[in-house]
Amino acid sequence: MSSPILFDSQALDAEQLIIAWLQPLRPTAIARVGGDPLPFTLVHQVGGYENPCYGTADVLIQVDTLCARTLGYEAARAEMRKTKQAMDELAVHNDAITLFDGSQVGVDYVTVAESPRFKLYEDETILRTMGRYDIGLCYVPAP
Amino acid sequence: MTAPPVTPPSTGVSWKEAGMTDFDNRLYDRGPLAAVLIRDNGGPTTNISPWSQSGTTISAAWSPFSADGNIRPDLLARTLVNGKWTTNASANEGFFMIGANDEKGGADRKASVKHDDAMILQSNFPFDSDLTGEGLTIQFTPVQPLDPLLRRLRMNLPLSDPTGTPIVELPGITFTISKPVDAESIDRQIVLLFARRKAAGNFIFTAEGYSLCKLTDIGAVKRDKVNPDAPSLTYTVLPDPYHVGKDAGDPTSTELVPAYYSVWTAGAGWTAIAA
Repeated sequence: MSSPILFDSQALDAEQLIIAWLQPLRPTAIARVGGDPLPFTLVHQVGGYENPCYGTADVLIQVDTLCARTLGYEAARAEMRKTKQAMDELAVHNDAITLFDGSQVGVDYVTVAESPRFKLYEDETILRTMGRYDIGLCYVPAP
Repeated sequence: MTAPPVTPPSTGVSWKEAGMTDFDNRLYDRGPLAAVLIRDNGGPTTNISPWSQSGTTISAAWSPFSADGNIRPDLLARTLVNGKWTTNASANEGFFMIGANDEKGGADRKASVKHDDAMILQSNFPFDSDLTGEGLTIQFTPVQPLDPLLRRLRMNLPLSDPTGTPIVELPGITFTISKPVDAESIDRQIVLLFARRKAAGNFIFTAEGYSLCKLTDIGAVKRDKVNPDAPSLTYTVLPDPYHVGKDAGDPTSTELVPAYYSVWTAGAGWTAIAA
């Protein structure tokens, strides 16, 4: 039996959801560890607020596309565009997202908060492009 | 249903146990999946009543949804196929989708209710109150003003000929159109479609059918660098003599009653709630 102090619902995990959505493009995770291949997509939640009574969450997600600097800026730009296309597809068509456990989820909305652009990255062998997206989510029954 | 006792029970419950926190976000509705469909009202040929009556038998009639709860595929008179606007050659309902809406522009449905309080000498409070007027307007701002459909809507011109055949020009063809001086009363019909993909991945679809509408306002248009050169369009909903529905006060009645407008709800996300 769950603890009486735990609410019975919680917001969908935005990072998990966007990682699952972008996975078909290239390896995608919340962190890149040494040896992970490039190009690579990083997904982080960088802001947001929730209304447990409404059962809604409105979050800001940052999507970084990492490419090897040796491939050059045009290659990095092409990968950035693919990431953006995938996010635009979700924004316009509101596709169902299949999570890694095979279950399907949906989002309320996706809007582009910041168009993707090149940003500095601590590892100088990597070119990073960053975009940010506002995403609306629902609460679902907590496991 | 058991009638509650007249006197309160001796023992009460908490706020939660009383059901005051029974929130259900599956019934929440928001999001960008919205479409405004419009066509000319052709009287009996554009009857969108959800029910029809034959003797004392009531049966389901028009719906924007298929039997499986999804959106029916034959709503539109034209579609965008591989970047080219194409007349729908298959049998269809003849609706035109107005395209993208302004982000804050629609579709706004605004009800107007007027009332008259009966005041009496002996009290400062109304003795009674009567509704003396009810109405509804629909306002939206389509942001694809180059579309010949939008030119016709803005000029309040017909979308179909007297036989019901659509006459709206396809985008891209040589196109000139003029607003006639002679005023003609144009009856429209508007269906607003909305969808929300629920957390479990399934859609809940809703549709609002306004059987008879007339243009009653056109917003100002100002061309600038970033905003679309597009006015808001406001339609007033009128009672359509062909539009009937079940008597909501007596759902088992075998008589349909005149209806102002109708709302449909469907989709796998909706039926899953009942399970």
